[in-house]
Amino acid sequence: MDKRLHIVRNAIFVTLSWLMVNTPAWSVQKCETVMLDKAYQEILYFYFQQDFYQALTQFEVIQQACPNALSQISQPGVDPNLLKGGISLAYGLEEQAADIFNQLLVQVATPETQTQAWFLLGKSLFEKQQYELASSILNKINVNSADEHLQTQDKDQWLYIQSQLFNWQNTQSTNVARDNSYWLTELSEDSVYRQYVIYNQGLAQLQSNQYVQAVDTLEQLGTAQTSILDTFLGGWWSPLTDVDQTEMDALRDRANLTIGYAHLKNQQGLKALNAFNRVRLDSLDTDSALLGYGWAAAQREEYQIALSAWQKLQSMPRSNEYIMESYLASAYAFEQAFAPTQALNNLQRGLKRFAQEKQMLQSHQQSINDQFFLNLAKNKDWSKQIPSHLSEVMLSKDFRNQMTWLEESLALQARFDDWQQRLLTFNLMLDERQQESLKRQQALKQNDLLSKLAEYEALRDSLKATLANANLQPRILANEEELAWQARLDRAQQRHKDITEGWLALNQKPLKPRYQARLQRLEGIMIWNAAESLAKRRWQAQKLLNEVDTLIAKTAKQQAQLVAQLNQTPEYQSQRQRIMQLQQDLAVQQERNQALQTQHLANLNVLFIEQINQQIAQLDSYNLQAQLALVRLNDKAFRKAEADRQGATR
Amino acid sequence: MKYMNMSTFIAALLLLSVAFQSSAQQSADTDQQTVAKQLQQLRKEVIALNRDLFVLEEDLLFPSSTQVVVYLSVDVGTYFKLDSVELKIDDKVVTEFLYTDRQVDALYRGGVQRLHIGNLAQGDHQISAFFIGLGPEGREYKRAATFNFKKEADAKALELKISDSSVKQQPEFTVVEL
Repeated sequence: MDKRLHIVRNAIFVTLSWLMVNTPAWSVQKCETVMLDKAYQEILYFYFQQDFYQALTQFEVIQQACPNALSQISQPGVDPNLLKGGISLAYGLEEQAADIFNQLLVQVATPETQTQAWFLLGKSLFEKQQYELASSILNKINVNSADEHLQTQDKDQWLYIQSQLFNWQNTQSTNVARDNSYWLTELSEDSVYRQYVIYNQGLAQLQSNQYVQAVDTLEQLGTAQTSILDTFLGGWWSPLTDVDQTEMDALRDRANLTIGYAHLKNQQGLKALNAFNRVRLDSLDTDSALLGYGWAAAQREEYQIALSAWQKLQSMPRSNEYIMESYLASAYAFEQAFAPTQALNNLQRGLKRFAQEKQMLQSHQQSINDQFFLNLAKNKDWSKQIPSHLSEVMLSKDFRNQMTWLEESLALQARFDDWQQRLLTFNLMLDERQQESLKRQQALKQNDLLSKLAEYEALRDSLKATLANANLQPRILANEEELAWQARLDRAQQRHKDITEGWLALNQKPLKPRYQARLQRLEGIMIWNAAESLAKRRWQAQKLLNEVDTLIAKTAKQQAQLVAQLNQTPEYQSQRQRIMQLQQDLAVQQERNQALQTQHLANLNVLFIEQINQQIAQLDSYNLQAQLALVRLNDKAFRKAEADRQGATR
Repeated sequence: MKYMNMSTFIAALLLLSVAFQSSAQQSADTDQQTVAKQLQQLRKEVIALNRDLFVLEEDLLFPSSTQVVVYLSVDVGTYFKLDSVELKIDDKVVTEFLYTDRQVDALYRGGVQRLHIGNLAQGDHQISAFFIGLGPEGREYKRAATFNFKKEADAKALELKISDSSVKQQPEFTVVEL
């Protein structure tokens, strides 16, 4: 009985396991702290690679699965909410970032989190040019808390923004630039912001007509030397050093340019020459510096030097106001150097160039359309491939901003196309799964496993009935050893009986009764043993039977579920619904993106035409000036010739 | 008087033109702000859409009953600079990953990479990871870690951990069940 019960229990267990494997088992593991920590660390992995898009997506994923996820994360370090705000800010979701920071500041946060939230919120407002609000927010941080709770880079940025706001407040209230040295003492030694603070300070001083102080301030940047090691190695050991050095060099050029023009304005030709001379020949400020260099030389009446600078400028493969102006400037220098013929020639060349430029600009104005901008935006290095005479227009800040937006819009379009493709694939995959499920369903229906439960139930019932008789027949619950003994005893008794009968048939003397007595005693012992362990065994058997009952009930339930599933055609309704919903959302976003793209293109067209018109107006102005100069020079030549003729007549 | 009138007229014209320019500039700025706001909204929507797609993809391709995720983390990284990892499950290569400097840096700074996500039948399995990189004193270093695990009805998450043993002055590679 015991053995059979075990066999039935094991058989049912196997069936149950099989049924469970074939039933979907969804778990809610995602909200466990260990999994949330892992998900957060995965976000950090994206964040440290500056993949803000993926980082924010992962934030959304965990927050959708577990609404309180961010408060459950046990990882040390930055508050997850703060990190999300920071990433949102970096990705260009300023409003979302501001909401997060405001929420953090309303909550009882640690001083560290509060300081960082003030900083990021202030930075976000500063970037949105809400200076007054930014100033009031950033003023909530003091130097001590910045030292304690902000990373060096963030602290430097905080100081830089503070200095900018300080300058802005000065321009709002008084016309005198105040000393910015406070920010400089607090900034870390190697911070790139140090250079910006100095430059802005110099500029503010210039705007307040503090020429001498401004030059002193700017000279700190203009005369800063790149180390010999940097010059030769170019920061090859670290990409960061390279970037920093490029930025520093550009800033130094800009500072020298500003110093040069400041000197020029104050009639300090020699000093201006020195300053312009320090601007590199391959920088963004080269053209402006060359023009200024020429003017500085002209101020010192060194016309040869001035002319060589301007001629170099004219030979540049670019087109901008400095180059155009150099034609007029050259004519001026020739005239001052008593070379009116060359001045006239130069003006003629200038007029030719202006006409040429104007013609090219006009032809572009007519030929450039949406497709041109789209093709340009698809090219990663578009700024390197623009026609030279359009460089002035297309490198302007507004134009570049619009192009960046257009690039983003095109990237989104590509992403949407990809998603659409993937959603179609998912639909096809579900079709395929449906087919597979149907096949499996057929196979399962033909499988005899499902009918086995009834057999087990019948077996269980018969065992139950047997157990009910155990009081009358304790042997039912005997173990294998006892059954073996019983069999041996039965055989011995049978043999005894056969021998006794055989003996009697042969008229022999009957066997001694002690054999019979021995057998009876043995039987008695066995019955006594069985009676002794009956209660225990019956309890054990009943327990096993109960377990079998539970298993059968569970299996029956699972089987019923499976049968119900088998009778249902697998439609994957919920998944299909989700795919459809996503397709609809995607279509909406695609439409929005398209509308935005159209708007960008319209803006670009307007901007382009406006700027071309400005350029043309500028060229017209140069043209007019050149023609006036031409008339004046011709008139002067005519008068001189007339005077010469009259002198000769006398 | 005539001169005065003319000058007043010119001044008014100039003022008008300045005012017009300023209002045109304001309108352009407002347009830009609107576009920027719309773009911001679109970015937000795109992230939500990406989230839904990500979750759908995971549900469809890697249901939790068969899902196995393998993470990789690096602790400190003084004794080992990771170059690549090869991951085998039941003796079958499932992932080979070559790291960039930026990825390695992200790992050193506390990020964890989801190296592999796949499906496995319930039962006993073995995972082996081969780590290649530069070990102590810049020597080429290749080590493996193996782990036996049982996949049950729930999703299984494992983590490959690279840590520094300051006692041995060597890197340690372990696989743990999450």
